[in-house]
Amino acid sequence: MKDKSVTRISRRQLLKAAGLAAGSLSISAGLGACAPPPAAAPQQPAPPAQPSPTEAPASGTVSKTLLLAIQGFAHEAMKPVLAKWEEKTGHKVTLESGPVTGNEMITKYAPAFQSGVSPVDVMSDADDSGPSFYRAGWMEPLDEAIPQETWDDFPESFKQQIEVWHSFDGKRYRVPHEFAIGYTFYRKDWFDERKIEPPKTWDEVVTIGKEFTNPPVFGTMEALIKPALAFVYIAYLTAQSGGNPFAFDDATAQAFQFAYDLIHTHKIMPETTLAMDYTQQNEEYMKDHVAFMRQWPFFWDVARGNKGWYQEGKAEITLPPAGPAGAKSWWGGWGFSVPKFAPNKAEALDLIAFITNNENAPILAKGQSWFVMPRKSIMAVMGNEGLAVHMQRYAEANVPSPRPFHPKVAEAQSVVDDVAALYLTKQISLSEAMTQGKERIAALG
Amino acid sequence: MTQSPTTALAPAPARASRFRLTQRAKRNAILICLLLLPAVALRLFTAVYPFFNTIWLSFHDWNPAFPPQQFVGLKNFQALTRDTAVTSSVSFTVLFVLVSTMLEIVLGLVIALILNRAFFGRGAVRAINLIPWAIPMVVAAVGFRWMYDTQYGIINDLLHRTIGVKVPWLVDFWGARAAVIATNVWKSTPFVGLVLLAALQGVPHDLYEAGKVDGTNRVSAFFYITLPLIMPQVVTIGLFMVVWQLAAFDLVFAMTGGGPGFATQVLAYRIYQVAFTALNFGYASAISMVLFVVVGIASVIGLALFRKVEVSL
Amino acid sequence: MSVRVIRWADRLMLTALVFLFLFVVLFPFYWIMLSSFTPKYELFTIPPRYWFSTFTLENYQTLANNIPLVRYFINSLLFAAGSSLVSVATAFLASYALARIQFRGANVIFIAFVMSIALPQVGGLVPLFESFKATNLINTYHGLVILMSSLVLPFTIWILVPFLRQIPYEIEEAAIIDGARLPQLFWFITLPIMRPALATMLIINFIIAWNELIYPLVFATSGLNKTLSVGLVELAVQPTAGGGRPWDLLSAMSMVMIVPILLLVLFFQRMIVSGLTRGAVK
Repeated sequence: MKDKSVTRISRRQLLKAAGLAAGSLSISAGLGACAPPPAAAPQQPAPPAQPSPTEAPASGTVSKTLLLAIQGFAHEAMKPVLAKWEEKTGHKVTLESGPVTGNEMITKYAPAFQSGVSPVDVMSDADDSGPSFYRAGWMEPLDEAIPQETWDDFPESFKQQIEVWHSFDGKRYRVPHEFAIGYTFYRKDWFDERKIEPPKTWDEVVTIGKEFTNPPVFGTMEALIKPALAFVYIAYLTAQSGGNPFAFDDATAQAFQFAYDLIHTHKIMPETTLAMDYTQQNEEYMKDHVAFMRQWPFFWDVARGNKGWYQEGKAEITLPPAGPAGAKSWWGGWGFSVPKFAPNKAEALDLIAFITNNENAPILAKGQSWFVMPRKSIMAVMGNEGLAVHMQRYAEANVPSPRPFHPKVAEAQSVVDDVAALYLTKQISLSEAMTQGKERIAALG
Repeated sequence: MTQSPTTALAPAPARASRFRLTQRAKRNAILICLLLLPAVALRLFTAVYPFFNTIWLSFHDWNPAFPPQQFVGLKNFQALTRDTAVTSSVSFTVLFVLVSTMLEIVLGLVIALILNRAFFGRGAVRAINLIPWAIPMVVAAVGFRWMYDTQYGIINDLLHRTIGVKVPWLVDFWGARAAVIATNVWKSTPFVGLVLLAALQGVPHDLYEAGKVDGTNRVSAFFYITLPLIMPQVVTIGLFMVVWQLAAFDLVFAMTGGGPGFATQVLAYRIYQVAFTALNFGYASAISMVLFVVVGIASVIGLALFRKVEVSL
Repeated sequence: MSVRVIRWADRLMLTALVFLFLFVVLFPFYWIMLSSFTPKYELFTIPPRYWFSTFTLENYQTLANNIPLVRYFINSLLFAAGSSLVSVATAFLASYALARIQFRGANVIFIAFVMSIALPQVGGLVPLFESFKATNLINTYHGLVILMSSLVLPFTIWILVPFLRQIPYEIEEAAIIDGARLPQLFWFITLPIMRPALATMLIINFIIAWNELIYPLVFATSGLNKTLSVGLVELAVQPTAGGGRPWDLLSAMSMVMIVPILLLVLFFQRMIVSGLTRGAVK
């Protein structure tokens, strides 16, 4: 541009450039023009089918480094199993932490997957993100990689859940490694003292709850803050009332009504639970303010780790109370997957088969309670220990009910969450809640 | 948009020869381009181009988990008017942004005036001022949730000790709204204060000296000298806070999740939810467009205000 | 006599205001700090505690075991420093054009910059990732800096333009007449005059980048570039199913994140001190 012979042209160009810059910006101001942005990537998002660039060296015997993403607290437990695999194959595995909520999982991975890139080879994935990922074609089917004996190791009752939550279009994409079910924790010490049994029915929940309620002590508590927690509870109650929370039918209404009555009619659950999360709920329990409550398995360790408070009998587990459809509780959990665009896919498939096989699953479970699930191989090793005892008891009593499914599960869940929160904070009536819920579920298509 | 921008170097009076004028115009055009280029390029690459994508997507049904992607015209916008999660969030979005901004400006001015005075330990206090702004949003949100707790929270404990009441802040419809706004103001005001402090530094000191001679007191000096002088920055930061807070969702996300019910739901949070819990990018883009129009209106008003204060300078 | 009383009352009011201000700002912070040094199971009591129950460093130890703190810390530092420098430098150049050279459309460009704050960050992630893939910027340091400086750029321009317009042009004009070239003009005249504003913006942009979550979460795909803010969302209470966030670890992490910022601000605030502008603007 400094060449004097082309001054006139370059001047024009520059003016043009200035105009272009101004123009492009004014487009953003909504004035409309046509200057294409310089980063001329295609307007249309790249088709997901685009193969990932493999940077692997040509020679097949070269040692590769795989990335395995799983939450930080599970790393220690993973290490011995990974070391065995490294020794067996000569490859290396680097552990990577990941976000702890399904929401953040989607935020982190969706843009990458959509662009045909995967930052990791094997990942631990949540119920809230997994199904969307394999529906979108971003995950690798595992039917060939995982041997039948691994699937056979899961109890018969898992079949439906695996079909719905871990598969799509007849193919399996995720191997469960966590069994998160809502257990009923109760103060055995208090119940023994009064010589009564924990509630077995919804009616008993109310009568026994009233007996214990004397603020700040309450019969029961359930953290209900948004997002998602009201859904968890409504789904739990709907399992007991014998319906599907997304149907917004009589069974759903029954569950809504029961939750409402616990808080506002019988007052055996404080209104403050509407703004609590699970940490707050647990804190209340460990402040001796709760007689019994539904909680995820992690509370078992939380309670027992609270050395200053815990004594035997303070956080025992009993079967859930039975609603019209029996003593039920839904379950879900995280599982291992291999992204379709994994940089080292062949090795990743070998690795995922290895860490989930019947020999290594128990080793992981011993190292970290997050990996304990009612697999035969795990129960054979630790069936009489701690939480696993109750896990088996729940399974034998046929308590586990599948996690409620909807093709657009994230949106459907947030509909239930929204409507339940509105109803339980008395902003709408039950019939309004049912109508609104039904309409919004229908709008999902 | 290729006609040349008429250029003239600001203060210099027009020189005699016409030739020199064009020279000057040319030099200016080059200069403008070079100076603006890095900024414009950055914005085009990381914001404007993705934004075109958003506009385009807002007319499409696009959820990667539910192919195919297809043109649906205004369907997303129609759905939006019937989506209670969107319509219910409009009122709080406006309330949240306007009330927060007003409080931030007033309190920020007070902070700036204090920090502009000379007193022992001013440097340390200026640093401390930025603490709330420096606390990560997730931490502030979770921390304040505990502080608002009726039993364990220090806010309720202090209220109880001083005036004998406890408020179930986050359960109550208006309580939750007040709590979210208060947290937001606590966190953002120091930042406004810092910007306004920098503005106060720009006020020539001799103006005050002149004022002193005229016998003006502090209060009238503030209203007649300081405020008019820093008005451009006050409007600037005010408008900025409006726009910025319209697009922010992290506090609401981590503190109340938009609850109780929809009491504290903001539009930006709904966009995040739709895009990244549901992967419903088409619909999320449509809501983004609504938000963008709101911001556009705010900016136009702001521009008008801005011109006004500039003229008054 | 009365002058002395007024002065005394004025001092008293100033002191009272400073203390009130310190209380409001510091009290929540103090409580967060208290939490970070309190054992996990003693965090919440009725009534709440206002002083240490048991002093412990346990939370920091757990944190260090959970997250590669040093690595994330260095990444955060580089990311925030790079972004704040690049954004302030670019914004300074652009603001100069917008504030000093009056051309038709300057205001339109200016307002377009400002409005582009509102281009939704979340909505743009997917197309951005595709451009980044095409330009090999994923998981690179400069890629992250580009994103972050662009994010804070409009705001920086937004603040700097009125500042520049407020400063009388005569000094620069005199320098131009004396034959100063643009780089010299910037370095010797404009930058010193703008120092308070630039230093302020450096700090503010540093803090915004330091706390930014979405961009590093999505674009720093491996531990190589992850920042402390990403670490925040990787902290779990326990093996959970949608559980709460662990206050013991969050509070410790926030202390790790705040202390460097405090040091930085203490260092930088000398630059914001008045005097320079006062001296220059006559």
